[in-house]
Amino acid sequence: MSAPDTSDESGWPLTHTERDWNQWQLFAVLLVTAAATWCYIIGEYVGYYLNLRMGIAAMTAGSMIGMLMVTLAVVPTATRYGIDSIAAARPQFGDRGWIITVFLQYASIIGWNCLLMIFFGRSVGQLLQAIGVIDPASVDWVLRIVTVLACVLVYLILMRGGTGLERVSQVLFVIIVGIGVWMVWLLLANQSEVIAAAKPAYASGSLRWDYVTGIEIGIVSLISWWPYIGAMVRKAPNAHSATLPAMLGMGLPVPLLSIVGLAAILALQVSDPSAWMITLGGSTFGVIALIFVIAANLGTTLAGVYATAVGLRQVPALARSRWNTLMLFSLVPVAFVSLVVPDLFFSNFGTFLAFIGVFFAPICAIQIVDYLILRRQRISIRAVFVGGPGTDYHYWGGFNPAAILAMAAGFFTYLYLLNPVTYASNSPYDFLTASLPTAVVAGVVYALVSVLVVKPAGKGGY
Amino acid sequence: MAREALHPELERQIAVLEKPENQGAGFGGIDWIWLIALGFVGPALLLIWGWS
Repeated sequence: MSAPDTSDESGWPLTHTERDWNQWQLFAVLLVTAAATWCYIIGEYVGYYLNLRMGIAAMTAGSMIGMLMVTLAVVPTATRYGIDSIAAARPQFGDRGWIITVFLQYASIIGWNCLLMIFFGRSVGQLLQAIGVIDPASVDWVLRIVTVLACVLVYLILMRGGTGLERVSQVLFVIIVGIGVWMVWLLLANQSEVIAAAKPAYASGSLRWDYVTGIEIGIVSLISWWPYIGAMVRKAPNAHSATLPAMLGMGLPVPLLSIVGLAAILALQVSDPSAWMITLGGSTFGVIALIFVIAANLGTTLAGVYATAVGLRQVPALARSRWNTLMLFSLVPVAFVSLVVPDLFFSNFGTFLAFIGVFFAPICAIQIVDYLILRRQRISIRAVFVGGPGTDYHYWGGFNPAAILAMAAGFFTYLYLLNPVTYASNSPYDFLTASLPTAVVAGVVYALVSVLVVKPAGKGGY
Repeated sequence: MAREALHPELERQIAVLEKPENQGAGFGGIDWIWLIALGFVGPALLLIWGWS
């Protein structure tokens, strides 16, 4: 019965003496986590449908709505008991059903990390090609080698656990904010007329549909923070300390940085700054952009691997694994995908985003309804960590039917409103988005089944 | 998750956190104002601005 390596590397709750991050520390970590090159891809997708003004409005509004959902779902539980997103979902999903959330966390963070690592590898390859160091035929190999090296670097930094993450974030924060602001200014100052006159390449013909799609992209991009945020806000001593860092540190940077991708795709038809910065200012600018890409993606990948490792600690078979082993579970799939099928996530980014909305919108709603309304902000921390028959969160065979039915209802609601593969939609998508009705349906189903079935049966510890 | 005897350190941490005075406080009034401003009002104003 050996203990996990340290308190912040375990899936165990952090006591109040271990939750020592102040607002500034948490703000820096969350910002560094949020600010990654996926922002350019998000901005690029919005730029397919909307001009700059409408794109900024839709993307920012959607992002803040999505961040609100995640904050309400995770922050109160994580900061009261010092637990991560996965442990916080156990009261709703049951002491076996929570494995659903582990799988979703694992799949989504692996997906995002693949995207970031491949983006990073591509940027290095493009820059080296642009300055004449390598020929075009070598770009693919450079991508693969750089990606694997980046995975090794992440592994080495995170051997220090959450301490390594926090210290690196303090340095990356300055680089990301400084260069990010400069890039926005550079793009808008040099290309403002082109951007103003640019037409979205894939506008549907219905301005309302395009606008709502911009909002939807913002929402799903930010609810993808669900798996990440718990592992970090649990280091804050209370919900107050995490509220503004979450909303402003994790919510706002994504749409602000996405403006770079939005403006770049409208003006230059490419969102990767290490490509368009060379166009605007030559190889020196390209090197600066690459530094930004490295800093931004490194911080986010660190946070993703850290959150995944903490989440995997909850899996019984991995509960006693070494921290280094858990990190390998998080990093090896990324390295594998980057080596074998690097184009997979780039060519299917829209589907990946919709996948996030399909699953994480219901999860957020379930947690909000359960913790804030049905349980009145109290859970049994013992039952979170001690399962089995007769315990509060065992429900029926370890599964809570309210959560399963709510997830299913949310899943089919989303599929009806917006097809994740074709983006074909049904009314009222063009008024309400897909994620918001999905969350409402899931929340209502969860509440009804809980009140009518679960509570009367004496299950769930209500 | 452990169904057998808990690790002593985990048992200690749970015992500490079962006492309300050792738990982190939830959202306060000012937090709810920020959440509503940044998650409801702000987005609504932005959407109106973008559509106009």
